[in-house]
Amino acid sequence: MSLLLALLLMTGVTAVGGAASAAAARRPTQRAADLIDRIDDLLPQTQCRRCTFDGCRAYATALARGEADVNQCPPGGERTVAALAALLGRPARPVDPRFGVTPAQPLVAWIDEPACIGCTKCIQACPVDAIVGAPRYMHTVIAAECTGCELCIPSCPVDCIVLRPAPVDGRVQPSRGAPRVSMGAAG
Amino acid sequence: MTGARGFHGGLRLDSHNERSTATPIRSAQAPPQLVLPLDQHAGAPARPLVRPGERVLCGQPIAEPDGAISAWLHASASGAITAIEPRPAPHLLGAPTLSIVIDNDGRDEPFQSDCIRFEQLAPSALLAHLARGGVVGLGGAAFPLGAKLASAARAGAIALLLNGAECEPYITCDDMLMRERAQDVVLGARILLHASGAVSCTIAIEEETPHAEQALRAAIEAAHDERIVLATVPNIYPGGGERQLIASVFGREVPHSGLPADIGVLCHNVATAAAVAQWVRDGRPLTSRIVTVTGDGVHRACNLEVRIGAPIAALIAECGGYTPRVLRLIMGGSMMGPALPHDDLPVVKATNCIVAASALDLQPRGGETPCIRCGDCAEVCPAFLLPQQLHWFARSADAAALQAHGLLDCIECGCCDFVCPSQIPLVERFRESKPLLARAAEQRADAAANRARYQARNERLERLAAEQREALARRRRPQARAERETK
Amino acid sequence: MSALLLILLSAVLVNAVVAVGPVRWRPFVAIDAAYDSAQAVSLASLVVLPAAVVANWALAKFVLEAFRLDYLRTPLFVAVLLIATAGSEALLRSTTRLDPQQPGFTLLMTANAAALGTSFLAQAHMPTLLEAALFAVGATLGLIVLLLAFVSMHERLRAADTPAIFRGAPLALVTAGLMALGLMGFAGIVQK
Repeated sequence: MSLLLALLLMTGVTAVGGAASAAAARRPTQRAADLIDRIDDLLPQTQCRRCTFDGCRAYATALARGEADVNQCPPGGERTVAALAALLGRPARPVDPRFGVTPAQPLVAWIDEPACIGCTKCIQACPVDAIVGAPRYMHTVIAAECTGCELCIPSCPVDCIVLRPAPVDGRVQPSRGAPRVSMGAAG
Repeated sequence: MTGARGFHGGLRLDSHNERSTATPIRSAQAPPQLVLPLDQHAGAPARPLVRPGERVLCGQPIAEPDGAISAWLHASASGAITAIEPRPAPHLLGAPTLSIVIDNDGRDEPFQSDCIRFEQLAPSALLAHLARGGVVGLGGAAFPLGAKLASAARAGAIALLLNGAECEPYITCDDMLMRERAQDVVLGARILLHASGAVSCTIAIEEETPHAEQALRAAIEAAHDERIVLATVPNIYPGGGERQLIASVFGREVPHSGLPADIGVLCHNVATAAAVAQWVRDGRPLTSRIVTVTGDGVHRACNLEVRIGAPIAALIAECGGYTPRVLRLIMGGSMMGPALPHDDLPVVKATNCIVAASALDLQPRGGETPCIRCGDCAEVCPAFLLPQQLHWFARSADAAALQAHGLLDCIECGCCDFVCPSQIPLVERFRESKPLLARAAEQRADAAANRARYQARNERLERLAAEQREALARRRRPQARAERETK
Repeated sequence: MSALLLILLSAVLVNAVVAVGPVRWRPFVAIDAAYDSAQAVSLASLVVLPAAVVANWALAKFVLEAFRLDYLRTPLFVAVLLIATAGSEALLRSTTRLDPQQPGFTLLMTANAAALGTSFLAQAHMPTLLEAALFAVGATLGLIVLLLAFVSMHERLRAADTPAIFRGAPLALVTAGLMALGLMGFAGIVQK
């Protein structure tokens, strides 16, 4: 009698425990959406599609679902890989060269104006609307808005777009390596 | 948390001011050539108004402000503009920057400027007039006065604070100014009171400066202005730092991400006030300033009234030249002043002191040894930071932890460096790490802007597509109706 | 008292090692900072421990003792702990931003020496339900304090100049040992 009761008790409690565990293990979508937002915050938002996904948000979604690896973002470089690896708890690896190479300095697109024919193909290709122009009018890249995604380069039929180092502050700068010294606020 | 000292931490240092305060201020000889960098103030560089070959008069505006935070620049001697070209500048440690070069013809012909009665002007008009004088903060930060007053005007009830607490060793220019030209300082206080709409003015000086205190008290008496009071603060470095001084005098703390204007305080250096007085009363814009030349590396230490743009070499020559013991040339004081590569650099508005340092002036520095976690650095930090923790995070380049521990609030005063028993160059480490945080913040801001534009573009394309579908549907509907009717 | 302290310390060690250990065993998703993870584990413990200990005490008194099934104590306690863990997982999911991850979370909470040990101590020494409940809450608070202190120390030492041979587990053990020495000072304060 006592043995039967013992068996019943243990089976019952363990069954309840197991069922509760299983029930609690479902993943509601609210957490997933939060995670996608947090991953998206770490990405550089270049929208270049080099990671093979349709924009940075799509890559973030794939990362959250575990369908992509953390080293697929060349514009983000080492820093983004490290941040993603820390957030998702995955090993940090160098950026996979299959997806591209991280540039040594920020680059922006530049249109060679004498060659431009005003076809607007680059304007349609730019994911952040950084190119100004209209059909048969001169096109020009707003350097401050350009993310360096290179999507405009293959779209140009006369190949007049190149990448150049991004201008710093738009002002004349002293020679590199000279620190600007603040003379301090201590009287 | 302000204790009996007035602010947290700090060090009692030897002021080394006996030599440079022994003789009164004298005017330095005008040099044959003056070099005026266009970016010698905080904010955007000034835009030149003159061209090479033109002749200018002493005090004539030669460059105008470019943008909201910028300042006027005036010729500090009469003569011809030789060139407008990159020349080595002291605030860039010898790196070249666009400068106006004037050949001094020695005649010192003055440019006529109006002397005005400031009480008759409305505060906003007075503000505009002050800006035209080219006055910037002469305590070292060189922030344009016009921009500072304009931002404070939006803040509401203001208490004016004049910073005469010259805490850094070796610098005595403000002390001598207050001793000899206290009436200029007090007049400047009255002008700033009128321009800023402040309700009170506190002139803060260090304890144990009897001459300056006496002179200021006499000047305040003579001015018969009850709004101006004198306050003394303990002789502790860096008590003259803006935030530390406000904590000492008013007992209030400036929020770390904000400015003194946020708690209703407007802080100016006493030399700035004196420059304001000279501009308003005498019509003389900011073309000269008092510079302390001192250190064991010069024969005669003194305070000179120097024209902006004069070469530092000329100042040293006027002080009897270098002694054979000189090792280093420092612009500023011994705690925060950077070393200059050579003396062929011009005096700029921010130059308050030149120290020709010998081995007697320089604290011997041994090699760096590992941190022993003594915590002395945290005890002396006037900004309530934990330099030891910042040191560990700087070593591992942990940007998030550095940000969380307030690296950007470090005023680089050097107190932690001074007391470290392991001789760790803490200020250097922090200076190297600050760009890390700035770059990370910049990248985050860029990414947010990119995302916003991307989303805006997608919405625009969707909207256009929807409109097109709508238009198409409207065109097809009558066509479909017509087809049905013919059937 | 010393028994409880020992239990709590060993639990802290397990918790801390799991929080900074391999990815699969981390109790929560996307919490990379060890201190944040420790805070989340503290929250979870606050839910699990008192509930489990009280339930265990009640079951031991009214079922096991009544039917003389004392030999079932250990497996029963563990099974109840499993239910409490599942309950806390559901609660955390629905009310907070935390995302408990299997198998790390369940393993940590279920096999947690603190919960089991406190249950045994409560069952052995506490005469009434109220006292058992208070004992459980007190033990949980003690666990939280120790866990957060331990993980804070670990975070501080992360950037420190540790000799290579000491990095990771050896340093954690040394830290736990020193903490234990320090806390032994509390032994004997409460005279029973």
